[in-house]
Amino acid sequence: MIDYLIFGTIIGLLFHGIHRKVIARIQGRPGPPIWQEILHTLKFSFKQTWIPKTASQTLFVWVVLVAIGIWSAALIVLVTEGSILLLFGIYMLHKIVEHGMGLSSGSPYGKFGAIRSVMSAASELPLFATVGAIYLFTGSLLLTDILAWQSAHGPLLIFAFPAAVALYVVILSKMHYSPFAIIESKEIVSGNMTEHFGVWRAGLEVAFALKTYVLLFAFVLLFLGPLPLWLVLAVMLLLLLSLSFICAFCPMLSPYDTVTMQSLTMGIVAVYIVIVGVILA
Amino acid sequence: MFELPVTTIEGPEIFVIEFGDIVNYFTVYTAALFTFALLFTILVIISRPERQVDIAFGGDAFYTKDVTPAQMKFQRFMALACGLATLGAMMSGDVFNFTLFTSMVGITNIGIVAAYKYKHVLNAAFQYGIVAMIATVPLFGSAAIILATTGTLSMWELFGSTIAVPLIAKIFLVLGVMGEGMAPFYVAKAEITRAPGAPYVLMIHVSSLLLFLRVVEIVISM
Amino acid sequence: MKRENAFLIMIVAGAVCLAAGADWRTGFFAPWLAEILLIAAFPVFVLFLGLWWNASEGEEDIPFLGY
Repeated sequence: MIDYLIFGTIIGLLFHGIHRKVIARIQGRPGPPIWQEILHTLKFSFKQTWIPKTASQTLFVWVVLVAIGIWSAALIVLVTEGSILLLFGIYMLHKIVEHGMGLSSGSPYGKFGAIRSVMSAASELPLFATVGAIYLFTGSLLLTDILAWQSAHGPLLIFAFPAAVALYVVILSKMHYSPFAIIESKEIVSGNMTEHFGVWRAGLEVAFALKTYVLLFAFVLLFLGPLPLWLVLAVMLLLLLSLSFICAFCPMLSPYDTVTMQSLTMGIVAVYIVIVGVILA
Repeated sequence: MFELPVTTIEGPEIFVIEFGDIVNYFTVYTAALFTFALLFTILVIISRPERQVDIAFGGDAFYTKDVTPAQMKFQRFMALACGLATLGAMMSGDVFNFTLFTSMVGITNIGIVAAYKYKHVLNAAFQYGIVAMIATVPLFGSAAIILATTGTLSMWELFGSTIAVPLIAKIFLVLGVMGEGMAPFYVAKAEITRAPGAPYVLMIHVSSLLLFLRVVEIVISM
Repeated sequence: MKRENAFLIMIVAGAVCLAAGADWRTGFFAPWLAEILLIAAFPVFVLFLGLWWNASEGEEDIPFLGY
């Protein structure tokens, strides 16, 4: 199990590196090597570390532990094929981590990041719609049953395409440099991560790497069904490349536009659920 | 003796606590939520508030806000009460108890916000209070409708396939929980982060998100 | 944090992680116990690995602070 976590962390960091590289190539820059984020994490963990004097010290440190903990739990849910409602829950809890991370430092930049994180609560709603749509088809939220259903009927990507789009928007919202990444946008330095430096940042990088890995992995499992590991990784990479293209071409949206876009996605999927679940049922 | 009718939504049931005909329970899902709520309640107890730094944009001026012990005491109490109410809502096996805990979360949330003596924050607390009060109508209304149509409020009965809970009751339940703190009714939430006291303010967010996660589980299972 | 303390905590957390991983593979104890231990110990391991790395040994040069 620990091997899954370490594998997930390294692949996630590598994916972050590839993400940066692809964005840079599209924008005509050479970009960093793809293992840059792994080096980054190591570098941060070697740096001198302390807790800012203005911070709420306990919360400041614990939020990092919680961040790694919840995404480890999410990976375990996927590996043991547990309930995707739990996965949805963990994704929501990540919002609390983001919020706490920004607020605990006392820094105004962290605070603005935290406020933006509260405002963009709409980014969780498409995931809820995805869970609802999957339940309509498979009649179960356990990953085991969803995989079995897909083995019998074919990938959910075909049957529940709008739900897949909603999950895609959810993953896009959480990528670095994405048009929806308002909580870490550069006009507020690094947003809610501004004051977490040194080891704390290294811990957060590990958590975010796990997050990227889990979200992409969940997309493949939920919408393409059981595949061999190499194929899963290849599809995850393809998904990542498509996300990188969007991130490279789209400027960062303003906070309210972000909320509007995400709510619209949610609305479209809600209409789809009503059509499939109520009218066609 | 007690077996959860559906295990395909939130995983198998782990543990049951009986209080007469009110039976609280843990599944993998609610146990995870409970642990998270417990963790943050403990954090509220052991952590001290941060000293928030405010800057004047375009200049070098900045000042830090301090939290007085009296204000901190009240806030910590309210945050703790909020944590306990959340814990109750996570393990409740009865719709009425769930709605009670939800409304208690709403009340304590107003308490946390109203502890600050800043004009904007107090304004926000006032509006928050109005929304939370209005939201109790659909919240308890849904419990009333469920009782009137099905004759029971126990989730052990309601989760079974024999009882059909009317759609309007489910919608009311979700609306009520949203009104107690969730988006898009959080008129106050962005405003409250002007105030210092991160561990306590965070509790507002923890409680409302966890409540939402729980209500999703209840509504899908019913 | 003292270098020795960070090292000790890192080793303990790492050992718990390894034990939980082994337990999950062999099924010696209940799998849920392994999962909970892993979720609790892995973050501690990651943070204290970093804290151990960057804890001072007390022999460093005084950094150049600028003009």
